[in-house]
Amino acid sequence: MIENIYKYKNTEWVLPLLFQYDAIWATIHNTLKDFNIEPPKASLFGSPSVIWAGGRVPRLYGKFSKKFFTNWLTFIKDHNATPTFTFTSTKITKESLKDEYANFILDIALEFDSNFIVYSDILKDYIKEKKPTAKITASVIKANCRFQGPDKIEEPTIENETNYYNKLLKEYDVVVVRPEYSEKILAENPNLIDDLSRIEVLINQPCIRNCPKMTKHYEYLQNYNLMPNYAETFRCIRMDMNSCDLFKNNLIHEKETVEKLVKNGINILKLQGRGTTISTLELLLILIDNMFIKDGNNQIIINTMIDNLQYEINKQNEAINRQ
Amino acid sequence: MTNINKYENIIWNLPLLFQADIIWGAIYNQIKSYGFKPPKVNLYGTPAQRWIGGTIPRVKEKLQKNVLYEHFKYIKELEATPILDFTSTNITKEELKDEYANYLLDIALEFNSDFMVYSDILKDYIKEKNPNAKIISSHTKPVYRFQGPNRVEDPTVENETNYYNKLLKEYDTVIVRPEYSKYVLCKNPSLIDDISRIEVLVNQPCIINCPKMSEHYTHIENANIIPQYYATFECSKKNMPAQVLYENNLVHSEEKINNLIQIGVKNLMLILKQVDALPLIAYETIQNMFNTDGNNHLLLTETIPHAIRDEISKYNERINRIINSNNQI
Repeated sequence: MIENIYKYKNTEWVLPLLFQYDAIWATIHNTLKDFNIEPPKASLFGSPSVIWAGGRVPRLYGKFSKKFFTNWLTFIKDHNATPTFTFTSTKITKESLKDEYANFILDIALEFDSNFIVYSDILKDYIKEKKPTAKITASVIKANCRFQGPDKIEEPTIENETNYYNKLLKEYDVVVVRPEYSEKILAENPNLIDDLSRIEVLINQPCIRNCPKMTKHYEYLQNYNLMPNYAETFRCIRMDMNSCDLFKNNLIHEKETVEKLVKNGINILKLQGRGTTISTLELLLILIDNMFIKDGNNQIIINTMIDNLQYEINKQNEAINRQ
Repeated sequence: MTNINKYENIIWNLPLLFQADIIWGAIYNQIKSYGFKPPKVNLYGTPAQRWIGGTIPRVKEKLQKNVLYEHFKYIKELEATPILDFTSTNITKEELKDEYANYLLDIALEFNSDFMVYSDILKDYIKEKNPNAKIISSHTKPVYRFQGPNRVEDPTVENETNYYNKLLKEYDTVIVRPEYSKYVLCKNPSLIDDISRIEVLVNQPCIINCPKMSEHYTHIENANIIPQYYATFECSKKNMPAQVLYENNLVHSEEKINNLIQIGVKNLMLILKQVDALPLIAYETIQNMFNTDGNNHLLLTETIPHAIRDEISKYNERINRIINSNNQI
């Protein structure tokens, strides 16, 4: 009999894989099925390079055909995951809503019942007009911009932040809270939030607590993606910190904290990892570390996942490039 | 904050020497930079040479003396003891004379290395050269004795216990079969004369009492030493249903390992499954040795890929400097 392999039960995972590392999900999904284990519910988030995308370097540059996207999203659906498009640009205007390529991608995404992560309220309204049943998540960047940095709109007090999330819950289907909030406040005060089942928690953010440069960093990445010959530079605060300080001040949640959150009613957990320079294998190992119990016999399942990765990558390439 | 080490007061024997030493370099330096104390480790392995057993070596060419010296110095800087893997099952008096193997042995002895050995005559040979050299009885000795169609005797509790107690009289440390540590040792700790000199292999992914294991080691050993060796070998696990493998493997759980430590086991060993993929080697090492939850995830999982790349650059620079200075002479 297979022992429990999941670190946290009854959890939906939101994973940084769409249009970058999708084969990782196929690997996890198919290996678990081989062992007669029901894979968890999963959404894969990401975006090709498009004007509505936010601050992560996409892997998929250039413009692609409908066939290409259809093949890709079919691959995702065949593995029982929901594609989730990160349209988290902070610079959406009425003009950018008319972008032809962005709308082209949006229409295909809607055909495949995709979800969306969004910063801009006007983009949220625009998508909902096209399809009222489209599920839209309020990006964590909204809360970062509101509560962090020199341009913050208000102080991140418990009251301010709670009110903000409760307000967002009236407008969005799911709301991602800042890790500072989930780690220190939500874990201890679950009753503050009106509907915990629609709160999403980011559990492996390696940034430092209340980083004053986070929004600038995000803006830098957005500009880098969108502006040809963008020549500005940005230096992350962590590069100048010593390891001990970084260890004490990052936002990666302890296992006990996540267990408490799940026990209190959080059932959507998010992992970050997009736009990274590490390999597909390395990202798989990070996901495994966060999602699964690796002890004892479960190591056999984990080893099998690792062994299967290249095969799944090859299968994905075949599927995507089918004519 | 979770303690970084999974188990306290343990010596780890890691399959990294001349294979992936920089993995330990990256982990060691990472742990130190975050203010923690690394656990005690030995690194075992070997470059290709005549006394090698059933392990695929990464380093195939003969190494110059200055490069070997620098490499051993590097290992020592990481507070690790090198263990040369001299586990050939085919040692005769003739093979003892092998020039390159002796050259490696002499340098290894200069650096107070330990040795893992299958052959009793090789063990005696090393002890003659240096009576203080620590010699570990290879994990393959009990495999050949108790497994497969050519086994010497059946692996009953009595036979196997007597065998290990006999080996303890002749070797400094004895590696037991995982079948024995997983299913016998915890229930019967007093059977063994000196548990503190027993070593347990905790991550063997093979199936219990695999009848082909000794054949597998022989196959690899032959491929290492016989020019144009073209035989093929098919592992028992190939095409085995996933569920069967799940229920019949030799991986030790944390609970089992803690039980073994409680009864006095002090030496734990890891085995490599994949020689080439550095991220996998790092992953296997880290997952078995350390707690990776919470903040530990940052230093051991998220940032390790970058730490490994840094360590590779630093190591290559160091060795290239030695090679270039030699060329200039």
